[in-house]
Amino acid sequence: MKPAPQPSTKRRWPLWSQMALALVAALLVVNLITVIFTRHIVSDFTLDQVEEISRSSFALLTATAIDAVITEDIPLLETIAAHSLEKTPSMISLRMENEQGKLLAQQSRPQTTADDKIRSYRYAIKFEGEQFGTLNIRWDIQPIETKINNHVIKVQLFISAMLILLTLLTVILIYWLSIRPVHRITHYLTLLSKNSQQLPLKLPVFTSSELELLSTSANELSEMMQQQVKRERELLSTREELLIAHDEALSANRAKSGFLATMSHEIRTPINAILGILGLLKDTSLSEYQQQLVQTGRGSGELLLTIINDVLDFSKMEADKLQLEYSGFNIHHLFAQGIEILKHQADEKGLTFILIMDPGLPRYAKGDPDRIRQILINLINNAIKFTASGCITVKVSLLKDNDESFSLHCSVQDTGIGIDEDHLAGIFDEFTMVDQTHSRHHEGSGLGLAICNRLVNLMQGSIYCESEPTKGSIFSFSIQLQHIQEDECTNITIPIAEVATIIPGRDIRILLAEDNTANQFVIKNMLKYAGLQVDIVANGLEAVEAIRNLPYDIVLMDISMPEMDGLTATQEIRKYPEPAGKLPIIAITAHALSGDRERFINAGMNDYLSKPIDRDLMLNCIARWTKDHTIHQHDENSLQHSDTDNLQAKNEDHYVDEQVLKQLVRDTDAEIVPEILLFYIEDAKKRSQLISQAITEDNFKALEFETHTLGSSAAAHGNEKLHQLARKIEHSCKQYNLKQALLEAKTLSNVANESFRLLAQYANKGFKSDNWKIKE
Amino acid sequence: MKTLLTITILLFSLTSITAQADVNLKFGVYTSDKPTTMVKMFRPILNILEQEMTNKIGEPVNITLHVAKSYDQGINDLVSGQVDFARMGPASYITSKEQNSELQLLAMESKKGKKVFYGIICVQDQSPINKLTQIKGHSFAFGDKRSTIGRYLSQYQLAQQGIYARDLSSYEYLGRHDRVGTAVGAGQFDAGALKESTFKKLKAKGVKIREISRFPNVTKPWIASSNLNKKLFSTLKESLLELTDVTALKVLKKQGFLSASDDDYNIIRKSMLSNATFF
Repeated sequence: MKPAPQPSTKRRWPLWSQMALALVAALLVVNLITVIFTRHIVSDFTLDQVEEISRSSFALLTATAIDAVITEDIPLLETIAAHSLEKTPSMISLRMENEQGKLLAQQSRPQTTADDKIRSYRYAIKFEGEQFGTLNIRWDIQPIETKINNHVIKVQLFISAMLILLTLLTVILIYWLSIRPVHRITHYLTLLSKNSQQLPLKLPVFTSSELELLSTSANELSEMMQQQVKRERELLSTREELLIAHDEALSANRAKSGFLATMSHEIRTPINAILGILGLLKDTSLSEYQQQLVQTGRGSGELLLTIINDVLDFSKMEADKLQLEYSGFNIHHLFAQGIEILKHQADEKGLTFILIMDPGLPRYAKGDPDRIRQILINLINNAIKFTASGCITVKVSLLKDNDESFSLHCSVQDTGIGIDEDHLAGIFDEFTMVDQTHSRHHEGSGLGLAICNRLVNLMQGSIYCESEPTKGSIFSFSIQLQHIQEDECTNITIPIAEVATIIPGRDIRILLAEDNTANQFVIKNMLKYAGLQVDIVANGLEAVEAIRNLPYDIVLMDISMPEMDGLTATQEIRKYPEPAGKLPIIAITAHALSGDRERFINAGMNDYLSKPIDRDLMLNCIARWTKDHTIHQHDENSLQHSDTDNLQAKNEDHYVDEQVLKQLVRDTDAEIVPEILLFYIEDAKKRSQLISQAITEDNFKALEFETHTLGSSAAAHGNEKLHQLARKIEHSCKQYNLKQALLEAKTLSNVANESFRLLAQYANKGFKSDNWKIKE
Repeated sequence: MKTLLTITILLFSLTSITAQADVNLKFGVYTSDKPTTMVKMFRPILNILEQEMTNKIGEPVNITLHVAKSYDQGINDLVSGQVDFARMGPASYITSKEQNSELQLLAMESKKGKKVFYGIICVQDQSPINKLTQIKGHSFAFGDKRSTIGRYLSQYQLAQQGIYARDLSSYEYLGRHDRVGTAVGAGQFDAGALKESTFKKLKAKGVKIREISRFPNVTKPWIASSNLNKKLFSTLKESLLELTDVTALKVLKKQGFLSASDDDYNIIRKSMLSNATFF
């Protein structure tokens, strides 16, 4: 941007004085030129005049003297000459000669002026064409010149006076007509530059149109400036409002994020616990009434979990943060599994379940299998929900096919209550339920179909519904998928019928990267239980180094680690040439938020396991990624993902969560658990000390890291209260709410000591009693 | 060589042109009228003569007019050869011829084809005088003392009738002819002598005068000076006699020129010679 031009420091003259000076200068020049020009003209004029006088005198003389000249009457000529000279003061001399040059008469007077002021004229005296003599007259032009000059000076003086008057009038007129209005406009503009609030400028009526235009422009400028100031004020006000709104939105967003994190971490876990407890309760000896109550409670819990998951998904979609995965999968298996999951529900209602797969449908495809399954389950769930009797038919077919991609079409038809036309239009809108009756009879968030709609749109497809009340509904969707070959299929979806605990091949080499020694201990023993050997490293850097040196089959990688975190380590490993570069890497994380999986996959990881680690899921995962496994039939409870089957009864008031300990016993061995717990206590005490140190040093980074680590291991070993407190401190650190973090951290030492004391008691008692046994 | 010859011829030609311009003639008259009137009267004829003579002799001829302020000076100019030729009254011619016998007549003016014209002796309209003899005892106005009509012929006429100067109550020379007529008409003189043309002019103007007698006069001679060479004399004479230009002649109030001999002026000579008897 150019700097604004500074006013010159040189002294400037006002325009009127410049004009006056210019006019005076012009006047002088004009006068000077006039004088020179006039002198020249006057000089010529004087000579002309003298010549004219001379000629006249000659004519007069000739008329008088011609007879005397012809007859050469010398006395008469002398008289005439004397008379003429006497009566003509400017005449110096007069001489008359006859045609032979003989002097006839001559008269002269003494010459008083210089020669250059004397003019001589010679005339031939002719009559009837014959020359009878000559007349010589000498004139003194001085008197004539003086006379003419006097006249000229008078005229010049008069002209000069007139010009001065004219100049004066011109300056006054210019001042009144131009300079004064210009001054006014300038003054107006100067005031305007200091303060935009000015009344409109009015110029006198005789002001020229140009200046009038200028004043109009100044007024327009003033108006524009006023409007601009007004706009600026409005903008500033709007900006302030926006800033407030922005801050509010940010804090709301933070609150939302925090809320979602809490939902994810905290709500789902107790629900899982409730479901687990109800599951356990169901297996005890109960009266029919009690069975019904337990069944209802479990159903409500599952519904609640679904609703929460829907809300979480939808929030993510709202924030445009939901990204699809692209992995290879078996389409047939996916649909078969989806139906199998819900077949039990259909059977309970006495509904017939039919799956019709188009034989022309490709077997393998690249897309997001989890999300497709989510859509399918949602639609089938609805069909089961709203169908009292009859059947549910799922048809999957190929809609369009080309070299790289194809369009899959799926319809879910039921023989349920159907939807009337009025409600069909907004069926895919958020929080829509067909009517209140339905909402009372059929629970749901009202988000299911909206989520389906958005997911289908993300998959470049469409979803629609046809329905006839009392006859049933058909929900159909189409999505775009990419062709792949079988060997590109990385996502092994196991058909429901085949679901079982999969034990990986015993000769596979596993590397565990985990900094927490307690977790190291738990995982090592879980794997030992399955007959697998594992090498352990304490951070990402060591993991990268180990993989370079030894041919591992799979890596279990913690995310938060000192020196180098799991994501960076994965990226480093992926730089290695094959086979090390292609090594399956499974994330082990306490980050349970939806979307973390995408983050890990993007970093180059292949799959993830949530902490606390479920033994069966871990083994299934290892088996899946190593493709070397044996299958064992398993309890159906273990088929579900850890997130939906966490039986831990978490309660922040409980220092020790027995459910976690039971799970630990189940995952490892009753004999080894006390050792694990003591090992954990020892490590956790060190962490607790490090936390105290971080508090003393106000080192919030260390505080965040250590509370995260302590929280994770505390959760894994049943120190629920300690886990909750550690998480709170970590959260406060992340939010930069340092005051709050310190306040919370001060209570940590006491909670930790009590937690360790109580847990040590459990360890000392051992876990061999029947109370700790779980039905296999 | 050729160039030199050309230059020589050119120079010679220039010299001859300069020589040709040398034919300058002076024509003399005396003031029988105002000098400017004299110039007006003679310049046209002189212009024609210049042209004619130039044609005849093949050389440029310039004629300047010399107006003498008196009869005597005019006669003197001719006699002394200061003018090459002159026009004067018959009396002046006689006087001049007496002084220089080598003066030659070139021609004489033609008055309607004749060599004579008339002088008039007039009286006032109401005058009782009806014939010359009745003039005795009355006053008389003459013209110039050198005038043929104004003096010599009129005094000769009176003497013929036996009237002499002493018989007149008074007489005076008034100079010009018009003054005579005017004076008579005004009653200042009982009678006067003037030439016919002036008499008619005055009558036409309303001057109350009446003719009582007329006498013949010879027209004016054009006389060459004794200095004029023969060639120029004959050319000039020839040109004069051939002169027919009406405009020029009209100014002179003549109809041309006729051949003249000295005998044509005998009557004038006679009247002049006997003039002394009048007194």
